[in-house]
Amino acid sequence: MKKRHVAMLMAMAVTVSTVLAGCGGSQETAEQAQPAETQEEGGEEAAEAEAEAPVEGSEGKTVIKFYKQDNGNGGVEALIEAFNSSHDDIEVEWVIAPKDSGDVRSQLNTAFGAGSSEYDVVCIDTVWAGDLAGAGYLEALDPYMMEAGLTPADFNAGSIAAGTYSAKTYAIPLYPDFGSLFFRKDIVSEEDAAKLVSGDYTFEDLLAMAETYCGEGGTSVGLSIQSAQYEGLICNTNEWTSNFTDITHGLELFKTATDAEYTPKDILVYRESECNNLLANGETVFSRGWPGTWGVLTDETTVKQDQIDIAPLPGGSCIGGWLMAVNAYGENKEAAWEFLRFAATDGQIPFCSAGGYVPGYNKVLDNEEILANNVLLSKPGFVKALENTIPRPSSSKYSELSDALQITIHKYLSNEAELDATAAEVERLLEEYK
Amino acid sequence: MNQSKLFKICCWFFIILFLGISVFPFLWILITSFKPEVEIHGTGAYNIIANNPTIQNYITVIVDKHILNAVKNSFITAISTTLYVVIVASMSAYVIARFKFKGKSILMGLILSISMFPQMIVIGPIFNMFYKLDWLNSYHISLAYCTITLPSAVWVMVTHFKQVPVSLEEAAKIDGCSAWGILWKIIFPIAAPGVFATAIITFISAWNEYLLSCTLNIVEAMQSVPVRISYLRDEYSIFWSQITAAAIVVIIPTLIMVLLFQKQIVAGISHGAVKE
Amino acid sequence: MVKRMSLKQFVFIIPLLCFMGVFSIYPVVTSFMYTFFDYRTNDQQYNSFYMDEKFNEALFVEDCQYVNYFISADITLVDEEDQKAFTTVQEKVSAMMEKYGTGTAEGQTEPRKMTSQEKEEIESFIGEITEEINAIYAKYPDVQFYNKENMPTILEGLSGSIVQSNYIGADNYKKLATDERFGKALLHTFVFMVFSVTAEFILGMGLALIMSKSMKGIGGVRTIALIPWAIPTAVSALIWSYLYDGSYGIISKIFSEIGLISSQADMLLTTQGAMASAILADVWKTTPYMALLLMAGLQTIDRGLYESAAIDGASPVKTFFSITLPLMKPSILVALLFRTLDAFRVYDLISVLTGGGPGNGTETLSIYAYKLIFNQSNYGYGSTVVVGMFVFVAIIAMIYVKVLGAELISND
Repeated sequence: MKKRHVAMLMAMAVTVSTVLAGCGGSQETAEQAQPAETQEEGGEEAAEAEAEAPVEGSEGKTVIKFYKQDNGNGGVEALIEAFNSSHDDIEVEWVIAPKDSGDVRSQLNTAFGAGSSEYDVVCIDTVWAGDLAGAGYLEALDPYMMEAGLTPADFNAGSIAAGTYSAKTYAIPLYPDFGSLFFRKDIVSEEDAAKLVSGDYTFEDLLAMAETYCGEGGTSVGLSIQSAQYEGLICNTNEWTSNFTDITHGLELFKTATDAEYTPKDILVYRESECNNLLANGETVFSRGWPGTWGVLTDETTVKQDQIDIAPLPGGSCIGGWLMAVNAYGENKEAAWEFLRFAATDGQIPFCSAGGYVPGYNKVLDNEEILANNVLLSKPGFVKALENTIPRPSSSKYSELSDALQITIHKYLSNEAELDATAAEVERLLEEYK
Repeated sequence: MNQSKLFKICCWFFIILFLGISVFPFLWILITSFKPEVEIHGTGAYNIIANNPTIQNYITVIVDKHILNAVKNSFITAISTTLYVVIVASMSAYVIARFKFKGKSILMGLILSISMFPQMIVIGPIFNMFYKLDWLNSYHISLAYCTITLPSAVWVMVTHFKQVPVSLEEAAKIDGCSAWGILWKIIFPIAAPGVFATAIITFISAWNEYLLSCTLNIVEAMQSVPVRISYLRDEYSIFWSQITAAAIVVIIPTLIMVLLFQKQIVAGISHGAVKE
Repeated sequence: MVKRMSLKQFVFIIPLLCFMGVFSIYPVVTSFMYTFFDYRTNDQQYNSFYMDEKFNEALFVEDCQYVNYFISADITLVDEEDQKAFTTVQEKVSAMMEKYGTGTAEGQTEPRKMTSQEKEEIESFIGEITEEINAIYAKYPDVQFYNKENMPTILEGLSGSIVQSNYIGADNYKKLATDERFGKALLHTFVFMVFSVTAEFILGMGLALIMSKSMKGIGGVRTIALIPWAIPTAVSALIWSYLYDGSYGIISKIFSEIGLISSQADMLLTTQGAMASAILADVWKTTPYMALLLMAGLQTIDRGLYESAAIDGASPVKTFFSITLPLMKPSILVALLFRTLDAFRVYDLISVLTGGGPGNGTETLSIYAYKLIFNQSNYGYGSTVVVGMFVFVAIIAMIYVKVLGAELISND
């Protein structure tokens, strides 16, 4: 027993001492040991080489790295394919960002903080644009836009406004997102459905309907909304309070909804994925979602797309979505801009057609290819929602404001604060961070 | 006699209860991993056997989501981390356990206080360093893992090295063994349980690490297991069936490793040497 | 018995010192420096360390370009005389750009030092053109200009090119002392730490005693017991959030069936429920780790002691308290110490399970610091929170060492 161990440990020690030999075991030792290890793995070499690809690509092409999440709908693939096949001198590579938005945010912060030229074009959430631009991480795009003959008016107004910081345009929409109400048209009566789609209803009406229809058609709840303590809570509150104009009443209604019997009991931890699951599994009649919710419904889910219709929300639809920006530390800003320009304009056609997105470029809003591939744009309720979008409160310190609002509102929803105090605190925060 | 029998029964009762509790979540995710996504929600959520059992989840995570590649990455980084950390830690632990020197308590305090800082604080500077050295998206990440593994490794090793009787060492010294020889030939084997415990702890900490690998190794080909699994989540939906299947896939290799090592940790080495 | 260290032995700790120096001490010292600055990476005024005033040339040039660009867009809307005035302003701006844009043209992006003369000139230049431009716009209250509203923002941004010092001394610490949110997060962290470490220690000790027995089938027991620990925290947190789910989670279902919670949904909805859930998940995952550390310590106890105790007729319980526990002191110290430190820094688990909710009732110090640093880019104050955390951890560590014996770090 003992001998075997000694032998084994000695073997280990020998391997190790070959590594250690020569130098006094200082830090270089480990560094030198590292490449030796990688060489043993042929496959990794390739992967590493790919990851550290030089700026000049294979046939002397400039390589542009596009940092974006994978939403699994083929939109980005189509966009990059269209770009690469139409450009001989530039090649775009896709670096897939994490699924979790928080992780994307911290990866970007860390990379930009180091002055990294790792990514040339980055895809960012609307609410981060101010922070990133304020830090000087993003290239101001107006000179480029002028040269290309583009003006902010060419893009979705809410989205491009989010990409503007101290009067300069730093980010251009890839696609706008906005809240809307998904409902089961096979359960809701035709009369009510018409009322919903027209947008001519109030949150009180919605709650009454949710109560009435709850339990019908195999459902267990009437309405699901996002009310966990996270950014989505601000989006929902924004809608319930009609863009923070009707705070007290809106918050009260919001709480009526989260307390109600016809909403899920654990609704205070609900994010998009929970709501979408309920909808897809036929457990809810109404569900507040983003355009992406549509893609969750497939032939394999209990509820199919043809059972669902979309309505605008009474208080307006909170705008979200993703913008593109050029890394200020990038080494090929001209090429990066060329890709960004393409993706924001002509590239919207393949991107939105394949991915089912709403274009952020106004000129292609009635493009037939997009319309043919995006059934949502043919739904009147959806178009109504698109027309009535509302931005989140604007602030140069948005992330701090959002964090403080989330805590205040979630406390109220979980019965740890009074309505009046909460409404006053929300008002105060909005004023303080203006 | 009776008392010891009662003691044994108590023991087994505790064992079974504990194992039951600790295995249950694992069993449940095993069950879930064979369910199609639809059956995870709704009325059939608590069925033990799925109505339509499927191995599609496994196919998806292995073929489409390349989970095995992440397992390989994690293995390479975790093993190289374990190797160098055990060596570096045992060398210093030997000196700390056996020799007097000025500033020893400062050194131990320093090692300890490093492990007190939350990891997020080292991410920024380490990223800068890796970026400048062009080490991002490579196995160099195992070097960065020393911040989370070295302190506990040194401390655990020191406690174990101290338990090794000095008399053995003296004898070796008379035989003309160098300090290096004493460490590898005498102390290392005798303190083997501690060494193995350290090795396993190091391996698992490197295997579990999330924040650093999420920041340093972003490219899909270089992602580690926890990062890869977190990528299974979507902005709009969570596929529990895939997450559970992926969890099962990544547990199996560690399971095999623990199975192999547990014998070494508890091996009866102490019988031979320590008693003399 | 214990010898002085010679140079030869010193070589043995060099690798450790190098690794720690590069990957731990350097980053920690860097972030300690952050705490004395109002260091925020989301604002160019604060995203570096300025002991004195600096001049942000790149921003100055960019904003000057914007001034000219805005004027060009609006120039056609005013009468001839004002067109001339606008052109004069543009020329002035171009001249300044030329004068101060030398560094930028050479690719320098960092703010540079500035003489008081330069500062004066820049400030008076900004004041002058602001006045002139405003005067022109004021003449045409009814004309729909493209950039009338944007212009003040840009001119304001222009003054931002003179970067003030962001060294704030101990201000961050003063803020920390009165920060209610820090206090609450500290409390949550303590609750989490005390409960999870206590439970883990008791269970881990039991497990270690059992696992170190040589019985039939113990190998299987050991392997199974170690499973939870081998699952990455990020993954096990995801798994637990599935098990705790209010509508289809099996654990929440079981708890509500046996009456522990009134409704399945309560698991993560109440502050106490969410905290208990997080503690349970942590105990499940890390008890094996505790057991492993303790078990390795058990192994080194001389069997002979147990044999003689058995001959003396001591009961197993008595043997445990009079032999096992005292002899395991060093191992217990190490196990408790490292588990406490880990528990104090809990992040992954709570972040996935509750994200700090409900109503921030489970926000721990790590989560607070993470939000400050990564979500709000407030590195200065975020680092201060981390240093505050460090102080508390250091106190805990000192108590442990005092209570459980200092021989481990002492000189012999």
